[in-house]
Amino acid sequence: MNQINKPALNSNYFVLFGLPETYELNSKKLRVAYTALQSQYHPDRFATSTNAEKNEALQASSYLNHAIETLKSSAKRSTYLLELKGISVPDHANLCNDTEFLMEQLHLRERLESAFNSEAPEDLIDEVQEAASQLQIQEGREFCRAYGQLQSLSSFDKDESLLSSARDSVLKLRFLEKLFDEVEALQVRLLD
Amino acid sequence: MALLQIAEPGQSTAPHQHKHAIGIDLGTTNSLVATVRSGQSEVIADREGVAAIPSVVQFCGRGQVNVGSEAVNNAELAIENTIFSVKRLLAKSADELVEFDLPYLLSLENPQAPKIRTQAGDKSPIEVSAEILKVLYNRAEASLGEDVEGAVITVPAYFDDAQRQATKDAAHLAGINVLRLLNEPTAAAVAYGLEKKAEGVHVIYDLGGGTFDVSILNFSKGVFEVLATGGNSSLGGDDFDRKVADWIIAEMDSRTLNKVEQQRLLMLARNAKERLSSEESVDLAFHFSDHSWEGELSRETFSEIIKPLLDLTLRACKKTLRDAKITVDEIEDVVLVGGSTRSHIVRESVARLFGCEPLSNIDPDQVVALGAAIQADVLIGNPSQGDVLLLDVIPLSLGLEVMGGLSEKIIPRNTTIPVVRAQEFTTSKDGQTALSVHVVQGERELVDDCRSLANFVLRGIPPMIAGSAKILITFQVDADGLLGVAAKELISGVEAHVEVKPSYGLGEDQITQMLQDSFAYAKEDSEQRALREQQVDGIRLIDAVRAALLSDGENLLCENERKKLDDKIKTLGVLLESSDRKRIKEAYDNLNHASEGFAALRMDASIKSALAGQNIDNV
Repeated sequence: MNQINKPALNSNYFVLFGLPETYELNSKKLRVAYTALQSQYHPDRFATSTNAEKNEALQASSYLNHAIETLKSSAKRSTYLLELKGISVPDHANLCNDTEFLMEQLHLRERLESAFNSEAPEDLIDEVQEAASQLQIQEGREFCRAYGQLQSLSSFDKDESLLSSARDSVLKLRFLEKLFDEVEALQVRLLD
Repeated sequence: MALLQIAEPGQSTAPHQHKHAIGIDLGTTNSLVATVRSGQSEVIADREGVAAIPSVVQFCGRGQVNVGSEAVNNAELAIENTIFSVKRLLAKSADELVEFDLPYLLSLENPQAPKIRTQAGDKSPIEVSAEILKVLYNRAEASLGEDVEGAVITVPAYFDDAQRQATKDAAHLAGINVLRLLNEPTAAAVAYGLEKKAEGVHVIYDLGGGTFDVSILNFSKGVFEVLATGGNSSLGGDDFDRKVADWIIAEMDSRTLNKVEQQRLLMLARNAKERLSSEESVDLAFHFSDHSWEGELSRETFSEIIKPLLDLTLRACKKTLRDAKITVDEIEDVVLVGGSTRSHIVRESVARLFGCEPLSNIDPDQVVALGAAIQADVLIGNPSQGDVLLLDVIPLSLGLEVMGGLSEKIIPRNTTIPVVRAQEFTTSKDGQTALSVHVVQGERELVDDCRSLANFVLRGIPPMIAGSAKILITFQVDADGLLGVAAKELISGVEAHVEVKPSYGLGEDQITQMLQDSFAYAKEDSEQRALREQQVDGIRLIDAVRAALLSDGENLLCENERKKLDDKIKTLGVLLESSDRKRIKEAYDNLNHASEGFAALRMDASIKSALAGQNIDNV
């Protein structure tokens, strides 16, 4: 996505929004910084400018939207934090030695599936959502722990087991985000 | 004028350079244009003070086009050439149009870009919309002078890429500089100045003639953000009319009506619906061929009739709240937009769902145009109090066709725009040198259930083993919600891209051609009109002089004088048959001049005759 980078905007999303480079996020501060920048760069501010300027505004504004979305999502944020340290976690990376977590995922998905035909789908959905939220918080903490310890090293690839723990957390956070997507899709289906 | 230009000491004495921009609400049933004058937004009305132009276009013979009430009034005479609610037809395929059961003949030569058969030729919905836009734009220019910088045109938040593109094409065709396409609900929020109130979440419930939109907006720190939008692009007040018409048909025993009668029945139904906003019950009478029917429609019955439709809107509201992750008690207020929200039952239902009395103090028919005008004024850089920024989202997910006819979503719906998203794909066969890219929009899994937006092919991929090519496909959606797609093979660097001009739209060439044609016609048209006017003036003058000669010629003129006038009448009469405006004008002036003396004589004579026989004291 770097091809949409605009020179005037910092390439580090955390620096861009004036936030510390950590997993913990001050969403309110993020929001305020985002709107301030958007007010400056949105194409609507350039409605009567030249096409070149309009195009630049379009790129800059798209970049801001991409940046905030990356930081807002726990899965994307954790991925990005590792990326900044030169560590990639590809989508098809192999999860995950944690069979317990996988079983729980399976279980949650099954419950979600059964909700569609159940008498009180909303209750089941709430239950799944609550469980997933708990897991997300827990996994976020796991990531913070590993990430914090990695930071104290001279380089992130110095401790293979810490790194694989951080990677695992990222993959689990992605799982959970997909689960939330499915919850949403189901809620929409129920309303139709 | 110079005296009006009072400058404060020390300030520039240059004339006030206030630029003008307009907001256009291109509605399904009615269209409006508004502007900001001296800091106040106002709709621009016609000479009779009527602001709304019915979105009806009528193609007559000889290139004449009627738009608005003129077209409505003549609708019964030329039903097949009179196009109602064209907004619903924008960017629809032939199959979709056929389902509408329209009273027009369709030209389906290109099933992706169907046209309507009229006596002025086949017209695409884009061309029809452009006719409405031209009338609005001309009205604005006449009212503001020539200096209209550009226009903000509103579209339902629910409009997909193809429909937005079609709207922009129509504006382009009408010669309008589009500053921005703006979602109607956002425009309504701007009109209400919700940004001046407390920060918070606002719901815009917009039930227009042909579309229903619900949008959840959040306002915070000078930025209006659309959190989610939902609705139904083919549900509106017109459907209420149809339901009422169906009810009348059922009441008067089933009977097939011809097209003209159907149209009349619809108008009767609409009228009944509108009257029910102020009356508890209305009497109805419908006369057709050899029958007539009389009945009564109460508010209660009306409520029952439209309840299924209303429930659809309420369900869409709930769904959209969910999308926005907002609960009812977080909502600051609800704004009503669209003429159909004048119905009591609509207001009551909305109040019940959201648990608060909705805002409706701005005319729900004008609120969108007013908001668009305010935003247009901000966009051209006129200072405003609010300086609001509007962040929109895309209403429907954008994706690509992948193996098995499935749609892979690249940009999910309700993503804030503008946005760029890229995703890597690869080849599926050994030695594959081309990749077909099929862009679709919609929420469904199967490509067949989504709307197809564009198809293009990336060629020149160097032959490689399956799976080793790296093809980056980038989607870019601009602030108007319009999409461009690019594909690039990263190893070889070959690329291809399309501005997604859906096949429903018009190509750039076609638009250029049409613009040129319309300029040519416009010149021809004005020349024609001037000729017609001169001919009419000539006929009137001849008639007047002849009548005068008949009554007083013998008494007042000598033979010579009389012959002079007769000759001049003859000359003008012959020239009137021609189309030489200049010579007609000369002959007209000659006759006019020559008859002046005669007119003076008649004046004297009539005074004399009026005085004759009267005592001088009585004068």
